[in-house]
Amino acid sequence: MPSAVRWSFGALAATAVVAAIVLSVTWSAAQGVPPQGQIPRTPDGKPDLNGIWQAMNTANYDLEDHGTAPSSVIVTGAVGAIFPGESVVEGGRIPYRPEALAKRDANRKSSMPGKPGRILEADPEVNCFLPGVPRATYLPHPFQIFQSPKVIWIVYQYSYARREIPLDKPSKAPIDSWMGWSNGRWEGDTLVVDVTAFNDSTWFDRAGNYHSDALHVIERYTPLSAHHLMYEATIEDPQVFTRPWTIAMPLYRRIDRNMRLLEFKCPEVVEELHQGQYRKVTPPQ
Amino acid sequence: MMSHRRLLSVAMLSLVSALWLAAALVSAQAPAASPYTPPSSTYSPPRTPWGDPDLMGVWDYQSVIRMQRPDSLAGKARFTDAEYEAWGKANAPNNDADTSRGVGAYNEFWNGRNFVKNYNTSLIVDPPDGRYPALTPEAEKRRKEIVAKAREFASAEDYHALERCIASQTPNAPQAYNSGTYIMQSPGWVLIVRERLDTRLIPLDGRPHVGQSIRNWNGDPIGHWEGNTLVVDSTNFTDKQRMGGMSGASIPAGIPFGNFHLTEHFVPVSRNRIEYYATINDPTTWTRPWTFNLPWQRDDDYRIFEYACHEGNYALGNSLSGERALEAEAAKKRQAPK
Repeated sequence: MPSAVRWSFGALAATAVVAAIVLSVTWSAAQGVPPQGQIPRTPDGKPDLNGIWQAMNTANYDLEDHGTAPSSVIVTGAVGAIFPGESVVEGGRIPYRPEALAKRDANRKSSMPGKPGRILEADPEVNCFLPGVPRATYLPHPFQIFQSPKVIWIVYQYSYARREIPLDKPSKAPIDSWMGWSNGRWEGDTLVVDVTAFNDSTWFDRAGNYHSDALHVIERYTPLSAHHLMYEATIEDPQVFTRPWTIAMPLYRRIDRNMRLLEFKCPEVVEELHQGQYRKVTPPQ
Repeated sequence: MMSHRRLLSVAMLSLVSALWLAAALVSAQAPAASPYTPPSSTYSPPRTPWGDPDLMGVWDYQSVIRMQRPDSLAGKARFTDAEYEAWGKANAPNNDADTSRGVGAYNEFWNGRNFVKNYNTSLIVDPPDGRYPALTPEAEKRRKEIVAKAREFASAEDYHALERCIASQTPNAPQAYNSGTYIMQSPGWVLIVRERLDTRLIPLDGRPHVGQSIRNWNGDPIGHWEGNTLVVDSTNFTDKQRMGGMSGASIPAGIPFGNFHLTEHFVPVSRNRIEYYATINDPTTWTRPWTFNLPWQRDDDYRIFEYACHEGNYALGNSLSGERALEAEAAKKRQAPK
């Protein structure tokens, strides 16, 4: 009896191993990635970050703790409601300078303008402006990483924002921009991206959290498995914050069938908001 | 609903077959009506670590050659070197930094463009006369209506997608500035990042196009390698892309893209040059398929920079508000007692 148990246990284990191998083989063949738990690597031994990724949280509403709240546009009802979420900031709160906190609160009041036009006091996302870093990462859209030994490109579905991240030749930005100037390097299995030369026009979220043009972001992408990355971004801006602070969140590989980024060219989406008042109205005869 | 749709598809079918018949009739007169096959190359590019031909880097495709062959060059498909140089001098004027006569718009000296040498006298290589093929009668009528309507500047839709900061145009033609284009590759993908707006993510895994109801400004591209040539097949263009004709446009104004079937061949012919061919097939618009050939040249000194077009686009709103002001002024004049 004991031997039979041992045998069937052994058979079970063997079956499980075979099943796992078969599963992993079919999985690899189907998706081009190994099973969970292994970190895929490129031929030069670096973690292979190629693929389509997305955050699954509500940080774009507010990096800090936020409860459910009604939509600021009444007719959108529950569709436009603020979804609740806990802070992604280490320690919970963003360390604002007192005068900077007042500006954040003013931003928050004007985040949803409720009137047409290019409202530069409102959340830049309302105007479909480029999202900056790190916000591009946790917008409710996927993004795709393209990796070679010398350079990484990231393309975000939101307005097809794009970043070139050279890995071999660090360089200085010629001028400030919305998405900043990125230089990347590997620290062990972590991709570290140093981003500088931002303008002061992007926000971190819809809740008015903001920065100045002194912003310096250090991002870290660390693979946890074939399907998960840990994303951390340390934010320095002595004009707005009393000390550097860090957000952290997992990123998930989108393994949907035939997953691809689709066009979300939002300049078209905001044309009525920005230019609707100039639409030609043919008067009745 | 179903029967309505079926009726529509029957109507579409008969329309398509009528057009096909028309196209077939035209093709009977013009023998080269099957899609153009680009010449291959014996050049073998380096390989990516995963074995694909490696085309990565920045490319540009500035050109003094126009889309269509000018009447003055009718019957002449190729320049000699001396003729090409003379043509370039005559067609890239104001290249001497002389400001005494005014620099004009987009002065070539300040543009500092690297023109890619091309002895063809037109970018269009098929039809062999180097001209756009004739439009179908229906497309010609539609084109006139669209162009006339656009003169109202009634809303943003009457402007080119580039002026709206939505897209340039796929296929890309030469333009005066910011046409640097990064080709990036990863296993199973090619990414084409055009500095000015367009981003194309091209899967190489044999998947089908997205469903018919998803329509893109730059179409839905799927690609594969034929030897060292990258072949990209694009459908699912939006019909909203129709105000071509600007700098950088390959298609004249008034042509809706919705039925375009675009086939592109990227033929690497040396480390520094890709012969790019774009073939457009749309029997609802053109009486035959046609192809243009644009050489791309590697530019290792060109760094793609953020274009941020929409973010600073005050021109569109100002132009529309100006049009409305002019209309109001004209209406006032009409009402004023004589």
